Amino acid sequence: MTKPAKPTARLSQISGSEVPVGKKYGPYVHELTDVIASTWTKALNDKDPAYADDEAARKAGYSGRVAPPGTMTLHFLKAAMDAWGGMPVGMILARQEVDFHAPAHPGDKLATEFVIQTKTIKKDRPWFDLEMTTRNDKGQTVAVSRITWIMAH
Amino acid sequence: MARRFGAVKVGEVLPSVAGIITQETINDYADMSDDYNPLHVDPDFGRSTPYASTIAHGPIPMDFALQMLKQWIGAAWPTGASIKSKFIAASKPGDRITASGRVVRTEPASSRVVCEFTCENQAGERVIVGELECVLDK
Repeated sequence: MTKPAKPTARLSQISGSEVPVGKKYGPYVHELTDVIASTWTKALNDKDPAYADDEAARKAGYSGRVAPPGTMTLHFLKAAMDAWGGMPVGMILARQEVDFHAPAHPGDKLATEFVIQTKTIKKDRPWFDLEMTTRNDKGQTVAVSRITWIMAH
Repeated sequence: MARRFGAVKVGEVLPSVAGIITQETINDYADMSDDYNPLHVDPDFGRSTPYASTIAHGPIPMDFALQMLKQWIGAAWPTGASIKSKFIAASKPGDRITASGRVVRTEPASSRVVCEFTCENQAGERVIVGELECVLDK
């Protein structure tokens, strides 16, 4: 049975003109919780012994359980919503690149900051290229993402 | 067992990874990301849009390509790897997404491997195209 989703959308009416090129946002800190890591593995059927078991993770060369790398996309989204007061209404994800650096672990408090790199107008809509960087509490870079978002206006 | 650069051949096909996206998958992603945009989580709203349905957050189908890379290289966390995705079409609840890929270039000096990938739905429509890159041990 499909569980009901929470009806608490954080939507933003921010427009493209309020997002200037060169503007830096963040850092925004969010914990990569055990609940998130385990929910991800079940929801995406993204399984690996190193996600569930410290000993298996150490045998694989990690310091302890690691998080599924796809969870980094959650931190990128949260940073955008923190910066803009929610997801801009009508925004579309056009491209996303992610570089993976130091592993993230459940319990890590990850700080994400980003900068608006370019803005172009196509078919009357602003396209933004951003670069986001997520670091752990040791200051190590965990992931870098370059994202192209199309805003509605 | 981690894959080694010397065992990789250009043209090699990566074992595909497939999964079905359900509304529950999308709701779980909304719970984890706090992105409760009604286009993702409200079926009534989704039916009123040109999509005629809710649609999945883009990183959901993208994860099947990432899983394919991880399984192929044999790493839970793909340090030094990257994924480059271009989103072509929306994925909807009920869609079966299959990620497929093949090696298109190897760079011996850096042990870097570049693969092309696609994510297609059950109708054979491409929803994502892109590249996967990784650096393997010699």
